[in-house]
Amino acid sequence: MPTNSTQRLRFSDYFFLSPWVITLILFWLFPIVASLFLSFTDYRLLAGSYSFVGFDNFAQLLQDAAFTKAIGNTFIFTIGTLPFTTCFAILLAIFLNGRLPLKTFFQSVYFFPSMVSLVVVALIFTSLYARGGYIQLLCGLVGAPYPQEGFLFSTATALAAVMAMDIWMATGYYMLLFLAALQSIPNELYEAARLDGASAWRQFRVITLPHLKPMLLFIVVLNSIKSFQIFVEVFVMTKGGPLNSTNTMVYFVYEEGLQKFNIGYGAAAANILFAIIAIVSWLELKLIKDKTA
Amino acid sequence: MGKIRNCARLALVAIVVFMTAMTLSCGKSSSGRTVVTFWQFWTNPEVKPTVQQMIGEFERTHPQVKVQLGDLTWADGHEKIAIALAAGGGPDVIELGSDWISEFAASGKLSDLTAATLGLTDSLLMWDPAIYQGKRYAVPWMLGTRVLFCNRTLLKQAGYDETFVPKTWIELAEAAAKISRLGDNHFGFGSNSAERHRLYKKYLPFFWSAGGEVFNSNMTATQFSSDAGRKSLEYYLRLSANGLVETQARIEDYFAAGKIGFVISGEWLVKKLSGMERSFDYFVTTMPSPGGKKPGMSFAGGEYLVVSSASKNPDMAMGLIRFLVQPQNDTMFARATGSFTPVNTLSTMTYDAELTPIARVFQEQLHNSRSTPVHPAWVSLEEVLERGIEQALYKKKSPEDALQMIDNDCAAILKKYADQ
Repeated sequence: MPTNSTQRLRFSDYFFLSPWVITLILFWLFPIVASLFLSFTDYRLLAGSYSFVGFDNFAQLLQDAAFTKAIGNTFIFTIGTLPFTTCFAILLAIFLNGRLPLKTFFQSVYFFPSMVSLVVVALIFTSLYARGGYIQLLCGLVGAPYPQEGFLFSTATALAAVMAMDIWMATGYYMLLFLAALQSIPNELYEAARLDGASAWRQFRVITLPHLKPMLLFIVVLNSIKSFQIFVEVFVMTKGGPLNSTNTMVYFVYEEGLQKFNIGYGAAAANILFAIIAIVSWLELKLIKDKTA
Repeated sequence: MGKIRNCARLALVAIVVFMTAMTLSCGKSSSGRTVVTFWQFWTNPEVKPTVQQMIGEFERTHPQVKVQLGDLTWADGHEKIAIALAAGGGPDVIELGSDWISEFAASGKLSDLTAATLGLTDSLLMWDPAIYQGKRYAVPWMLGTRVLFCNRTLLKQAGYDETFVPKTWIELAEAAAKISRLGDNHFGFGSNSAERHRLYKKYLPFFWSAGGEVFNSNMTATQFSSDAGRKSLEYYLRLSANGLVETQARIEDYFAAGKIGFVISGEWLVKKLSGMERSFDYFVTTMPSPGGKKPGMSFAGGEYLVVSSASKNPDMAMGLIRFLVQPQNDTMFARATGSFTPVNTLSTMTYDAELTPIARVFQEQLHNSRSTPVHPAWVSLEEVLERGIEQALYKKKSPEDALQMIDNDCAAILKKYADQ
């Protein structure tokens, strides 16, 4: 009888788990396997036919100037945004963790950009960055140089402009995560440190930072994955231009796969991106964990 | 536990019954009427009611048919259509942009409408994009062309009299230069750049006006590095040097604010300008040409109706298309969209005695307009063309080198396509 009861229990367990399992198989595992398979073919979406081309797509990608430029831009974007977003988020979290009037108001204000639709924010920034826009006006007032043609139309500033918007938008979200981590640090530790005469910097270095490390690890990995997958900002603001100066890997995959329907080629690019994200995430985990240990 | 198992079984049975019912009901509505699905792009509140009104009238006159409308957007409609057709399903009738027809026709996803459209060929305009390898795959539904919008107030400030209309390339370039010299954030010409799917539409009219042809006779190579290509690109760069290089939407905003002398645009800008308070006068004219003896060429865009080759009701689908392009529906649709160029030559708007001067310019320009060259790989060729022009606009390459690069890259795409 116990065996029968166990079997019945298992059936119902599987049944209730099935929506998630089916979703996982259909919408996650199957596309990953299919994408890997397609990257070795010259699959043509509309014709519905394909032939195996081995590693041709990958070899061709490495010689494709647009793809190498997209990889370069993606790395610049990630390296250029991640440290700033993380540092600003930590600083804001520490600032808001102290005794401050209107604390809840400031928390809401800093978090607000994360709640607005990315498309809406991108459209607003497109207008701000335009020729004659408010940012040019501001630069003019403080005497800072700016591109006459508008920030998004200059190859020198287009990517930086997208990065700046991303930092502005993402900081509030990570700030909230850091704030949650800060509030979980026992206050007794700071009291004991103060009794021992530890300076504010030393308290930050030996108490705050070690306690923030699990959250820091999570945020660095999450933020770098998100940065490597940057798409919406580019799609709305620049379409990869001018002269590919804002073309990123996901945008490249979108253009090849869904605009030109070079599915095999696009899938190969997507798999390279997958490999890069996996390696970078593994390195980040290893580096931060080793330092924590 | 037995109850849970019974519930689970019941749920499974319900799912299977529901899916079976859904499968069996494909192509038939619950009332037994034949269902024709129609995907279209007119979602804005000014036009959608007209589409719904026409569909309602079609259903009233064809009581055995139920039309299911599906809305698409220009941002992702191409992908949605391609994926639906590739999956072997999708709608019966689809609205396509003129530059997509050959792509879908070449892959066998569209029904050959050659025989079904025999009675329509004389009454409807602009069939070229609908024809692929000698067969008609689409029916024109909506046409539009671009003309030159000119700011009369700025022209006067630049020293031109009330009657000046630029007819030659030189006249336009000189007037644009004079307006840009007015300063105070004024620009002579609105030039597109870094905006996919638009830049080529601005360059090609100049290329055609200079006598250029995109393809050689057997369509194995493009001919941008010809004299016509060089002349037209140099001219476009000259205009851009005295212009505002921006996206089309922002160029039109600048024109509406009275800051730009000349803009190439379509009917939608007339609508925009008439619905706002203006501090300047403007007029429209046909595109200038190198010599000025006849109007220059313009780009004609169009939206076409096609029938999916997977349609289970191709006759009903074609019936719906015939209905939509009838003169009275075409007139009503053109009025709703603000088009000055109805597709049906029998449409009352075509010989309306009250045609405005602006509408007459658009109709004259339509006769001197061409649409996207018909090739299944056009989307890729277009990207190469735009990237090349960008290289020249940003002075990364000379016009000659940029055009040579375009021809070389296009040749590689055409060869790859021919080898498939």
